[in-house]
Amino acid sequence: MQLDMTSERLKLEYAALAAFFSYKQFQLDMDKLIFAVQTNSKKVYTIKVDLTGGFPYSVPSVFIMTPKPLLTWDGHSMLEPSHSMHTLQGENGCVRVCHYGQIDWVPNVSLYQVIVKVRIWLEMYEVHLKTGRPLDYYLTSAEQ
Amino acid sequence: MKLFEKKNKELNDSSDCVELGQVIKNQHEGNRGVELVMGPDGELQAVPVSEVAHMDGVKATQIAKKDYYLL
Repeated sequence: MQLDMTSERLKLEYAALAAFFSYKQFQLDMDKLIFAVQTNSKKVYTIKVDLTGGFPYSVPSVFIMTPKPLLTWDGHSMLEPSHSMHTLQGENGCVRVCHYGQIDWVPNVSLYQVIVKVRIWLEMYEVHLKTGRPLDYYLTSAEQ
Repeated sequence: MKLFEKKNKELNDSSDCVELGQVIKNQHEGNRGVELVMGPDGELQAVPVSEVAHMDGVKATQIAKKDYYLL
């Protein structure tokens, strides 16, 4: 476990999130951000941003904690890495979302920006449930 | 008190989210005729660029440019 989050950065991240979202929607600690996202369809997802992998110098891992497990439109698991679905290897039954690629990542990317990307991923996931089209149809891929 | 004001509901049968998907697809392909805006209620909307200036909320194209640590 690599913790590069400082207390100063933590305060800045909290302020950036609180500027746009209700403080009731998230819990931010040195090692993780837990966030409740509501999509346009009013479905609520709980996501976890794991900050133990060297954030902010490395891309944080993002997992969909609930509903668990997320399935494809035809009922298949999404726990395996999938380029077309923008997912990485899941853990503990939680789907891991591919949001920023290593090439795109810079240390001043905020957790707020990560949350917005995950929100768009969730919206496109719901489109996938309706159309069967992979997320890659709608989203360009992040460079790894 | 509930976290979100509006009640949770099943995915509706409208084509709203599919239309939003098409807008996002178009944006990723370089079509900037429509802007994504996250409204004060958290809804993600597709708004014609000509109307964006009059909208409250966070504009998607500004998200990457803003310095969040100076808020």
